[in-house]
Amino acid sequence: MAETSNIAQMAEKVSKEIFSEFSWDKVGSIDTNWDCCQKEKHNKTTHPTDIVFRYEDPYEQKYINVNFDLKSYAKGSINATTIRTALESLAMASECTQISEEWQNIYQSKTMNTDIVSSLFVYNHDNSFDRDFDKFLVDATKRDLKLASGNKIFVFSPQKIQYLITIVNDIKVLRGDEILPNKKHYTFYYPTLDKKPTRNPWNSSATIETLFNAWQIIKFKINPENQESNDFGIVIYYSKKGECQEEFQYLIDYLFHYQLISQASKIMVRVANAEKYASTNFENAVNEYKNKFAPEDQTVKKLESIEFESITNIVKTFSEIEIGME
Amino acid sequence: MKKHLESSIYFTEKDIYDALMSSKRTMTIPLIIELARDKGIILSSEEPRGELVKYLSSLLYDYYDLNVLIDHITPAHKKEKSKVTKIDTKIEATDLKNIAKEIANENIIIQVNKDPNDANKTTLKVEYDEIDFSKTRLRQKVRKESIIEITEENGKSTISKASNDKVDEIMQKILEKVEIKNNTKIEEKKINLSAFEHKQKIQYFTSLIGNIDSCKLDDVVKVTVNYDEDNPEAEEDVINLITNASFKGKGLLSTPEYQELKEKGFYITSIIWNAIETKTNGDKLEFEASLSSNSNIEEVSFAVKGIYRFKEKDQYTSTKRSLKPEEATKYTNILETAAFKVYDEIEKQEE
Repeated sequence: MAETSNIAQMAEKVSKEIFSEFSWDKVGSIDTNWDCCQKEKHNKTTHPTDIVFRYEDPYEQKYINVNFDLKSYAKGSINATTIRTALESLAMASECTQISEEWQNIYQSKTMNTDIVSSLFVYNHDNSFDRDFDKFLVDATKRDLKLASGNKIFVFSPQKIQYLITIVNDIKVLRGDEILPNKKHYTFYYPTLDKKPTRNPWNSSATIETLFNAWQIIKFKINPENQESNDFGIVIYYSKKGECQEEFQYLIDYLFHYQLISQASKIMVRVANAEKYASTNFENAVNEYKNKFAPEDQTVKKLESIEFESITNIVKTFSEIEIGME
Repeated sequence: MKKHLESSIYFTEKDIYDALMSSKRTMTIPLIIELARDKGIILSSEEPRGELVKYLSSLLYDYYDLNVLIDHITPAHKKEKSKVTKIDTKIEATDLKNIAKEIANENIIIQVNKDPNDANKTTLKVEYDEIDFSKTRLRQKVRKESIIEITEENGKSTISKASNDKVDEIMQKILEKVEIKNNTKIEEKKINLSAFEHKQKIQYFTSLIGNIDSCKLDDVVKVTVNYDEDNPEAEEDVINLITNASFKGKGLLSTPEYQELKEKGFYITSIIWNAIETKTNGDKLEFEASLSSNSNIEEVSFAVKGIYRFKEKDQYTSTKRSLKPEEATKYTNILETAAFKVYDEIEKQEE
């Protein structure tokens, strides 16, 4: 059973080296086949689940369970049709996760409401950053996928995975250098939306949507030893290239809108895929803002203090395991 | 005076929700699903539209996402048409740069750039604010950007620009300043059909639709015809008078209704048609050419209205999508080239 063990190995790596840093917990068993509950409609006897992660919703009292289908391939070995097939199969499995007692017994909390989403994780193990992938995905979804109502599938592309590996690595480095405190003193940041505050302001996992956003924000305590201190800093991981000034102006707008510029004592912007002029574009965006305030205004000093850094895109051979697309 | 705005342009979840909810016609379920897919999230087409909108607006939008969104919720008919003119003068990019500086003010920013891929092309990026308070917030504060493209060939220049008063005014000022600088009178040649007879006007539009490079005419989807009483070709015995009529449908130019009006002396003032790219798995584009009268000029303006994406053989997306910026530039150029070519041919016949 070579492939089974490949999936299990891959699942362990994905868990340890990526999602645990986003405060996701692995739940239930790895690499499981469970009974299909709509055998006639799906024309299948079982559905596979490679690994399931769970995190708490930052706003509502519920868990989100993420049902994963893991793939790992070499460049050139997949195309739109294989992605389509994988998505069709996952769409059916996803529909059954919502109603399968067996699946829910293995993976679901008995005490708290749970939303279930599915994920196709497509790792490119020869690190050739398959740029054709996005085009394949477009072609694979041109015809409606017939995903049942209430289901969502998140597609982790090779580039997305590479980005996540890069920021996970950077978080570890910042922790090692004591720029970020111990894990229990930082959190993923969620703004108060429409008067709806986050439930655990100092203990929020990254939501799956956050990982698909253009930026992710970590909020950390500056004086973790001092219980009284509310002093905090933020690290913004930015996934776009920084090709124009306007994109950073919009990011700064976001920070202003949620009062992070005025409230955070330390602000770091870390760009994983920066292009040549990213830092210049950032500087120009900051200057554009500074002009809106009197020179002696505190805001100007705050804007000037933002640390902008391009982080090395870690090309780390995460795994050489091959998990084919049937 | 220094402003004390905390946030100037950030769009909240609610802004995005309002804009999406109020754009039912353009923000169709297939388009919402496509936008989410481009973020890597696959949603169910069986979900009610309201639920999909709620989810889509809960996601974070960056600058690029937002531009795509604004583009999609701007109704196609509001999209600017373009005009193309020719002058017998070469305008130096450095002169343009200096002139732009003279014209720019607090509200107008003009940026002059040479195209790195085409030495003959200079672009003027004109930025100005346009505010419409009758709209939801997302549509209200639109910083308008308009590109004027000047392409030089053998000492002559082709000017392609948006068909709006603001941009016309700016271009007019630029040409006046070039006249002073070069001490020559510049004659701007427009696609002006005012000297054409009715049948030539009809010929102009019907030839144009079949003359788009690298595309094959698919069908005419809308045609507007006009009738003017002073026309000597017009029948004299008309008492009850239609002066203007629009037709939508299929194979319009072959319908007996259109033919009858044409016989009676009506001429085309606007035409919308589809053409399919001749390349393999090509998309279907929608073009528009329309005549607008202004004092003594009947100038034609143009628009690439959208694109129906190829799905499988003879099948395209059911709703019209916005073009990517590079596609819009490419097809506007192709359309405008055809526009002048057909115009020159009809002018030659006259001589």
